[in-house]
Amino acid sequence: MTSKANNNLNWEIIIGLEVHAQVVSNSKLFSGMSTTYGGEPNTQVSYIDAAFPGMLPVINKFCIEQAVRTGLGLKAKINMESVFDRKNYFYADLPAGYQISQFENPIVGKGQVILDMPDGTIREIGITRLHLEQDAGKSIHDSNSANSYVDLNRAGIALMEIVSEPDMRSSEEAGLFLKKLRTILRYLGTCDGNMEQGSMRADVNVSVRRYGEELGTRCEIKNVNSIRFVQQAIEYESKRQIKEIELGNKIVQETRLFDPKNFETRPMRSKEESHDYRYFPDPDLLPLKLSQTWIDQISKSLPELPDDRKQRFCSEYGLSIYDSGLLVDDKETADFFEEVVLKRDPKLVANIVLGDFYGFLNKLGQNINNSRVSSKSLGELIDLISNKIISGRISKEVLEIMFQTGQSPKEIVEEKGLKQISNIDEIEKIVDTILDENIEKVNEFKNGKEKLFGFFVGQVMKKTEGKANPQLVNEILTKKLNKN
Amino acid sequence: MAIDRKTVEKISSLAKIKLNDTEADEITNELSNILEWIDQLNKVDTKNTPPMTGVIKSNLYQRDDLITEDKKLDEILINSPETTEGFFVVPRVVD
Repeated sequence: MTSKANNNLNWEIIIGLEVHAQVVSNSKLFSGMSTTYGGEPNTQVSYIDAAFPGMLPVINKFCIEQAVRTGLGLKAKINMESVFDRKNYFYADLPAGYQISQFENPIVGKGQVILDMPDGTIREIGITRLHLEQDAGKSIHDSNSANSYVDLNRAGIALMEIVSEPDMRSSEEAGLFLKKLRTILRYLGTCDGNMEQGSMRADVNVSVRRYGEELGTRCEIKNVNSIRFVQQAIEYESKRQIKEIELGNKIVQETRLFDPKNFETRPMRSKEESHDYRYFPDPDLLPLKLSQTWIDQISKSLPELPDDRKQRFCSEYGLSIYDSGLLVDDKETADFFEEVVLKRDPKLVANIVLGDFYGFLNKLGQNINNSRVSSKSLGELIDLISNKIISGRISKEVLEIMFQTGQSPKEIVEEKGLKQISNIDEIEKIVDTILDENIEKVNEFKNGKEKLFGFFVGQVMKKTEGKANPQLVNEILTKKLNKN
Repeated sequence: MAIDRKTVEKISSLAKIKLNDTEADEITNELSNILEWIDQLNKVDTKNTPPMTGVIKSNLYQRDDLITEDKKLDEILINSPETTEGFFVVPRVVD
């Protein structure tokens, strides 16, 4: 999506994001209650999560490890000492009246995320910080009732709040940033990145200025839960601000809400009062001190990250940066590719995985892990193409049957008689018949209507039901048509 | 006065504690006395003292990532004035 407002050459849009990423862990940040998604309301709530009087929080070591792992994956500074603070506010889904968070001393400091722009350039987006905090519960609003309903299952699950620098300049960049961050988190296994289930949500800070001017006043759009919505919110909000300023009005710093039904943002009522969270260090929790040895251990256990893997795909397999990028975007796709590519032609494998294979997956609404086509059977299909037993065109037909029946490609080719015709004499015969049947067109071709070449190829393919070796058909047709 | 009436009103609204005029004046006085007393601490030279967030010299205890708690729906809801289908029912809060 390109920014229309951005086409207005006078205005620069400044975007910073705060991403809330739910940490992958068995139990909550400060209690031993399960984090499983989708439980019956309030069945995954301990006394600590419900803030019963006298309950004390005990931190989950693995959540700390996940935060450090994420910090290392973002090439960020890990702070050897950090502090948990209370962020005080009243809301029905926050039972304690405060959220345990980190304010002045977060666990992770400055880092960066690298974006590959569609034009081949690279953009570095700074990460300001990452801190650990508790998630709140969920309020459900029934429009027919004077009540709201509160489910605390989510309350107390560990979140990483990842704050970017205001380095983005368009909705497109913001979208790419979120996608890249999600890819990195998934590679690290620290957040599943599932925005539909709310395990990744973003607060979007937007301001505008005329080029060269000081930064404008920003508005924060809270809790946007899809990448597309983030982009739409930026589009709307930047246009709104530009219009206000051009009318001579001032932008008021405020918290706004994105309404995906009407594609607009509007001020939030409940948070009108300017934030005053009265942060102070949580007296229930000592400062968190990390040891370098432990950080080194985590560092050694990091997987190959998407940027490194992409470089390797270029150098090891000779793929283009673009194809490598598409393959590594999703860890499972990259793993699948590497299973298929062993001893095979990398470019052919990449084309089929990214082309027909993904085409069918999407069409059938399957994903790479639950489809009927394994890396082994896709490999066999590619061998049939490489060994010229079937043509590329027929391979698509075979692949479709593989998706439907789960049969092996060899079986399908045998059963349906799809083997490629590579016998020169046989193809010559067919070509002769076609040319005899279309004498007029042959003459037109000889008089310069060269476009007709495609017509002849098509006729041969039709007659052979797509089984003729296309290279041979081209060669023979060229030879015969250019003969006087 | 270390603290003015306006600040007291703001804190009371943040804390959702309603004060009448007399109470607000009393609290302003009380808080001022406390803050003036605390102000004496500012006179201590802390240039070479690292900031302290706790009084106990030990490390934060860290537990393993294990599920040690069971469902306790009834106990969790027991203090709630109104519940339905396992939810807490609260006055409508919506943006």
